[in-house]
Amino acid sequence: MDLEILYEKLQQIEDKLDCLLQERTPRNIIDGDILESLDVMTLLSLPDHLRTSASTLFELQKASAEEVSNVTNKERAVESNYLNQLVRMGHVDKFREGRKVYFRINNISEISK
Amino acid sequence: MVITIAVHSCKGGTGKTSIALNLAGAYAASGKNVCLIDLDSKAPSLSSIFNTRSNKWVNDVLFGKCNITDVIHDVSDGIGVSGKLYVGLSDPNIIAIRDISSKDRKWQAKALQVIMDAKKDLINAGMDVIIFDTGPGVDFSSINAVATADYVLVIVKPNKMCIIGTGQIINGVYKLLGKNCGVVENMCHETHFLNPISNTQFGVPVLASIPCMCDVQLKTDADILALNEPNHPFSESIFKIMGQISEQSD
Repeated sequence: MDLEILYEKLQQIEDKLDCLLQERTPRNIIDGDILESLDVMTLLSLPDHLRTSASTLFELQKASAEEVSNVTNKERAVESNYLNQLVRMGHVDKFREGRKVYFRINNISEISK
Repeated sequence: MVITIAVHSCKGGTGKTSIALNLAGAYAASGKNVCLIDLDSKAPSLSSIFNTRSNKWVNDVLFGKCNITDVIHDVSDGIGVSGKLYVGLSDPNIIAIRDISSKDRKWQAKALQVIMDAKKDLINAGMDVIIFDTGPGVDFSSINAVATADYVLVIVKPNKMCIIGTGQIINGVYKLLGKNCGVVENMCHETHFLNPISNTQFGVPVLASIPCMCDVQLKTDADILALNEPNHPFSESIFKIMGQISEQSD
């Protein structure tokens, strides 16, 4: 099997696993830690590669891994990996629209009036 | 090209508001559509300069009650600018200040997104230059503004404490957020000009060294000095800063 196709298949499996994990895990609680929304101080404390991805997502609001990678000048697969790390940390939401997977910053709480 | 500038400093009392106000005036005088937003919501100042009789504030935008375009005021009339100058004011009422000061980091996370949306709305409304007057130091409200800006103008008072803090904030905040920035030394005494901050000290350019002048505080308290007295040394520094930001951003 072509490596590219194999990689796509693995990516799809990873996407499905992430969706399952998100369904099973109460929102913003992972591994017993209560995770916060992605505020600017948390953004500053992220490692460089994740901070770049998260900052780009803040600007784009909703984007696919490919759209983020076009801004960060990284490979789509690398960017997808970083965005999925941010999803696992609870800072980013991952969702589907049709066949396409999108990411957005996870704003857990709405602004209180 | 649209530019969003956050005027920031590591300490209070460096002259951020005076520089933000006059820079906004200078851009408007050069024909740009400018919006000056007071994001120093814990110690707002611009409402004392612009008597807009406002009942809508930047606070309302942060609380999700309205859009940024609902709270900005056109103050261009009679100030002699070829462009437009708009201001968005923070509520100076102590209840509003207490309210916003008590917000937690989840609220601040959402506020960051709100400020980013506001920037996009102002660009869509035709602004060429957006200037955020921020609070001092590393605080959610000021760093939210910094994170949203394209360019950070950091104001330094030439004393040891402020210089050390500025180095930290450049390396520990602006550079981490990938911001383009420039330094302005403000309120410099004669002896400082013998040993000014060099371009290599912080690794970012020093755009101007403004001498300490007693009349500036009085004259920027109610008016835009860069428009009223464009040949004043303070005003000349402001126009020089504007030119240097353009060069750096091109």
